[in-house]
Amino acid sequence: MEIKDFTYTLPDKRQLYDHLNAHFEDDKVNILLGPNGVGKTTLLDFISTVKPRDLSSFEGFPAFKQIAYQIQGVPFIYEATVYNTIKMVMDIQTPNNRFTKADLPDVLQKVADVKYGKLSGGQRQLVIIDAFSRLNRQLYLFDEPESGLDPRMAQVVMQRIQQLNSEGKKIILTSHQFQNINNDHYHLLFLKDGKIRFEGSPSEFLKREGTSDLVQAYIKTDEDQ
Amino acid sequence: MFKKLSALSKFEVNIALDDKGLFIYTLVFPALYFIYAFFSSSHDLTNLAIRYHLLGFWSYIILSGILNQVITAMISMRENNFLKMFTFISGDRRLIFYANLIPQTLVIQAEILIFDIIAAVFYRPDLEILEFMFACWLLNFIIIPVVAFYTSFLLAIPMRTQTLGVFMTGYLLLALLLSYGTTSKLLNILLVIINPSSFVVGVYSLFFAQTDLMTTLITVSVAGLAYVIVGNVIVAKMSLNSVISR
Repeated sequence: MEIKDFTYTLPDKRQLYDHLNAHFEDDKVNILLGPNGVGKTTLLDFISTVKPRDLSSFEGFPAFKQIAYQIQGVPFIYEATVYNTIKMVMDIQTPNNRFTKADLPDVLQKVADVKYGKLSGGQRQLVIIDAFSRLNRQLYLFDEPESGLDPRMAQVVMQRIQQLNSEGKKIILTSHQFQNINNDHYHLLFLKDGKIRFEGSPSEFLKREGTSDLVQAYIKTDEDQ
Repeated sequence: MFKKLSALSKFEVNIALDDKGLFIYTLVFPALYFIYAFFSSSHDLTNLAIRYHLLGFWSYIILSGILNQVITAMISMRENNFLKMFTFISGDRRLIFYANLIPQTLVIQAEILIFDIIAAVFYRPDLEILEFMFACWLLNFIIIPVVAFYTSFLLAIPMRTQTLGVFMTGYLLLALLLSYGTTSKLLNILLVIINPSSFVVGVYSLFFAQTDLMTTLITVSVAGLAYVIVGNVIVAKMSLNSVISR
């Protein structure tokens, strides 16, 4: 999946992407990094076709029906229980399924009968990630999937996302958290000022910035531009 | 397709039944006005007068129900990004629209049934009127979805949720004001084509109209079919992005 020479200007005339080029690895979890407001979510909107995709710039991305897109900060229905919410997704995905509460991950089994609106922010995020992970699509887009999660739950989510990738699913996510980027199964893309400023593995990122800490590497890259 | 629709509709039923406040606008208000109008006018109404009274109320209940519970719900879903999320889950915007429309059609039908019982208690109508009421109620299963497609052009307008209430109230009032037609045959045809309330009145009037029966039948059939086709395209193509997003 590649983006080639993509330029986009917002309706208020601010230029968001300036001849942007990016390459996404199919067999790695692609992570879009970058400061707030650089257009990470908007790029996911283009990839997902929520915003019309320019065919000459976007190559190799699946069609709309083959994409699952978890949107940042959008809740499920407050009146539905956790089980009913996931069951609804399962019914859409696989009619005549025999999905039971026992099929929920351990962390969600405890709150299976709790209404979504009564969950904490982190628990809601887990429900959303779990639901989207159950959709059978070629490409999964996650917008800050670890947002609002404690370190242990964030790890659970990233493991689930890695599992999807190992099952052959393509993944692109945005993130501001680094504690779980601990191996080279990730492909980092640092977006700033309309261009990808770094693209490569976490170890290459650390090597380039001469540090062993991803946070420091991030800050250095941000300041370098 | 139908399994997906069924799964989504179950969810929409939860929402539909949760917001009981909407019943005030779509059922309680017209029912109270009906009772007020009944006691403020002559009780000795002809069958034709009763029919005209009833179809005005039915037209209001259907149009206000569709505007408040289907079109406004879709626009609100677009603005809070629910539409985007559920479209990615279901794979098709139209499924979200239908999943909303099906339970709301049943809710509106329940409201009309309750209204008809109230009307029957006060009017004490003869069998002919009771048959007319029942026939119109059955026909509503077709009329209500068609009205939803009539008003689906609103989904293509970049409307903010803050202005939605005012716009819908104005649209509803204008549609009802225009629904009783004019003496001009051509203008009446035009009204049926552009105004969902005139369409509703036009369909009901097929049961008792003395003149222009064939013209009305052809107009409501062609206009209704055209709106179903065009409405489906509008829903399928409607923006998933909130108007206020960048």
